[in-house]
Amino acid sequence: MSAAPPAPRPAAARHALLLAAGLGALALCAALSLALGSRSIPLPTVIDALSGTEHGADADVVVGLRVPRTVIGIAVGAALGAAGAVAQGVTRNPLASPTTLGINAGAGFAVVTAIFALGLSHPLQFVWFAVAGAAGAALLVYGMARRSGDLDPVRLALGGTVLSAVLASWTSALMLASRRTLDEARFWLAGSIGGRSLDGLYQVLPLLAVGAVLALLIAPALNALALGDETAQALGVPVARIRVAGGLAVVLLAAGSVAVAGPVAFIGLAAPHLVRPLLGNDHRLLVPGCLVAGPVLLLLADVLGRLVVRPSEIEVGIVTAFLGAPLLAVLARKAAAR
Amino acid sequence: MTKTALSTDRLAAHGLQLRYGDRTVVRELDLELPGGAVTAIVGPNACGKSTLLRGLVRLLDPAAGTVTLDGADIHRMPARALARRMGLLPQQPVTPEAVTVEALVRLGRYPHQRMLTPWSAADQAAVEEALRRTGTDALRDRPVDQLSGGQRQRAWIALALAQDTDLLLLDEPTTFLDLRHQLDVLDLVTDLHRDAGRTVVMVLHDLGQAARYADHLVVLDGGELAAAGPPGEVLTAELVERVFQVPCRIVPDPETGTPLVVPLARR
Amino acid sequence: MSPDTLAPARPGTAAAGAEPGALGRARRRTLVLIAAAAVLLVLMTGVALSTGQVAIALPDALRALFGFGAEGDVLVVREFRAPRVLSALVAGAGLAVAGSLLQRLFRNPLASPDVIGVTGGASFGAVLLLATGASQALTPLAALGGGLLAAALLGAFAWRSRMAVTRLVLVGLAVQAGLAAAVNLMIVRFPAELAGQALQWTTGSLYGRTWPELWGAGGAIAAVVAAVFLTNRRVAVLDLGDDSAGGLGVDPHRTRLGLLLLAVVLASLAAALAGPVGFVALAVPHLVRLLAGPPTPASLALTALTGALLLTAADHLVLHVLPVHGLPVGAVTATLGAPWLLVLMIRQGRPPQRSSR
Repeated sequence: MSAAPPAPRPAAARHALLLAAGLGALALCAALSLALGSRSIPLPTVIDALSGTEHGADADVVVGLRVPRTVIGIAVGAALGAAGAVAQGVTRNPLASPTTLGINAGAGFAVVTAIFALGLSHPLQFVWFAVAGAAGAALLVYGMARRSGDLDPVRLALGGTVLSAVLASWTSALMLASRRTLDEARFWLAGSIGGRSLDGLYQVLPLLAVGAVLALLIAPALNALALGDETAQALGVPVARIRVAGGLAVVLLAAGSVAVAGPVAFIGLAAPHLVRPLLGNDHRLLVPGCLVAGPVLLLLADVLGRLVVRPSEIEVGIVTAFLGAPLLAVLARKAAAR
Repeated sequence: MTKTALSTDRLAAHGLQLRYGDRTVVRELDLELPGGAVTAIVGPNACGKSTLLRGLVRLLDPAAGTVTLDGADIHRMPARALARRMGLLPQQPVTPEAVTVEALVRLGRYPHQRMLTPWSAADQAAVEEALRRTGTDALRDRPVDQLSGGQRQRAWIALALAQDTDLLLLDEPTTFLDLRHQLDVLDLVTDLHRDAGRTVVMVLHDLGQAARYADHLVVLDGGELAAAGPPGEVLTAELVERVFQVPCRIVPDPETGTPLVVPLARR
Repeated sequence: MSPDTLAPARPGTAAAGAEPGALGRARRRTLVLIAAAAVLLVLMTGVALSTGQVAIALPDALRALFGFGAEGDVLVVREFRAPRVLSALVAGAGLAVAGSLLQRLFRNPLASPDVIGVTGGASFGAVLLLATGASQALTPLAALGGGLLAAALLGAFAWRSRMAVTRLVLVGLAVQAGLAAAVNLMIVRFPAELAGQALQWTTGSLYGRTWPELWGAGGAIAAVVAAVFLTNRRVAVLDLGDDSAGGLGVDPHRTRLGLLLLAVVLASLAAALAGPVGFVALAVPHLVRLLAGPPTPASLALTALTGALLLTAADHLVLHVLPVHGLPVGAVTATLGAPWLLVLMIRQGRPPQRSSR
């Protein structure tokens, strides 16, 4: 099934080095995420708290708040990054992201409906509503884009955008109809990894794991898909099945992450674009690369959101959108230079 | 009728340098294209043929030098005035969705229309003439995106004809066409020149076709002028070997007597 | 009908001449659709003007709009109902034309004011005004300013690339994302009361429109729509690709910038009147393309009429028909338009896309 020729040795060494550097950056970001916040805790204290030798207020903050937050950040970032890489590969569109498929809008609408109708108020209660909403929206979009067993990329994007617009407007309508809903939902809708417990993550962990494995499995086939449907077919790649499997991976990963953290934009879009200049277009490297780059971006954005308005903080979903904007502009410069 | 160079419609480049970003594609080119004749621009891949054509019709601003039409700098002429004198068939035009042949050809009248002028009898006459000449009359109601390659190319040529210019520039008009349609297009182009005295400049790939159909040959190599003149004088075995790195013999075309390139057998 | 709606229709029909063949047939079909849409729009306007606490007969309501008939009717229609109804009509037409222009310019079926940042910009302006606590009467001006700010950002980032399409789309998305994040930040930080108001505006609202606003923004929209009609030939030439356009004497870069500015101004003006009802701009051009085929001046007129009809009908539903009060007009527009569009899309089988390259 592997379509691209194996990379020559020197490149492989470079890639290993880059992957190591990426993991190093991830470790650094995790350390920053544990140490920085409304109160800064020196790294030695963090390490002591983690090993259980330190007790007290600082240790409580580290173990009780920042460890869950960092772990969730890593999981969500990795899921979103991989989902973005697969979404762009499947649609052959560098602007595709989980958002394009209506996943965030579906999750948002389901959660706001739950808040409105059932009076829920805790993020932990939202998890399965978000998953159901995300999956429902994605299925609907796939249904609209289906064409004799295959998915039509253009209708996929158009259907996703239209559905997102409709669901977003319904979400607003619900929030405007009830003050309580507005108050509960606007924070969740901003997208945040703070104040979430690990229980939420455990619930969706199977989704994320299956999604990630699926993404890694189809990565070689995505290389063939990049050459166009006909060439891929000629290379013996089952195009339609790969597209469906890829779509499934995107839904699992994105639905899982939106359930834990709320809608976080841009990680899925940006991670592949950051990794591509370093590792090239080979999806066998791109997908693992995004599994690392996604969390780096998310944790950086989250730490930044904690620092700029100390002692308060800005939701990570808002920070990623702010940071993503200039990134896209730079990307545009490259696209134009080509 | 006339094969002699007229004194008008002379397109010339003086010290022309064309660039894409930092990449210089055409350097220091001095060139004069005879009016009232068919000129073919040939050369190996990536020698700057299409770039030169784009420079000649002002699609590309020169990094240095000028392009003149009858002595006047084309970069100082109003865009529409230039478009009434010079028509272009690009290599890969974008076919708008579901546009009919006639609607496409009518767009060729754009440079002749003012913002509020209604569609005139002269406009319609030019469109009819273009459809008739290209044999696309019967296709006029068909959507262009559903035509075969040869038909589509003729529709695009009809658009350039409806523009009713003395000069017509074509960028590889025969690509993607089979042999018969290639000859159809080339016959059409030379008829235009013969019947209406138009000046034709085209980029071609096939040296034999270029020699057969052109009065004047321009050979480019690496963005520089390798040779220019009548095909019979220009097209020599030494030149082809130097420019294309293909050892060959030149024999007279049994049909027309124009030079024909026959590559030497490699084994 | 108001003079604003007549203006867009006129150049399209006046350009029609005696034409043979399929061109003529397609145009006749479009003209029939235009006539139907125009009649529906007059009826819808009449119904909207005649409904309310004081019921007025439909013909009387239309007459009262122009100042004829019983004094009480004239007062109710002209003072209380007309500004809102006509604002919906004008904004709907403007948004639809802006969307149609953007989808053609970008050769992308997903283009809408969202893609060039106008939605984010207009929301940013309006919500920022809310944050400063200034008079709400200034909201349309703030929205207009925000939309133009987005356009300025887009132009500043994209100008050096000579308005290449890919670059414009990417930069537009970036501007939109940045400004939308700013709006989101304000909504999250606002006290609940203000957050509700901000959300209300960004979802689209025609509440509290006045005659001066209508004359100002509506007149400007009519002028820009007229300009779009006048440049239609130019756009058709641009559709042939940059090289062909250049060969026909159209500078593609400068033309694209000019047309983009028209679309931005149009979308910003419409947002000033009705809030950023992005759905009209996204969906109406598709609907019209599916009904009447590829863009011509006539189908552009149909686009304007359909946009006006959709927003007027949606606002009427919000005000008088739906049992729930205070629904945002944007939600109703999307709900009305989406199923129609999706059914057409599925039935069509082929995507409503533009062939490019």
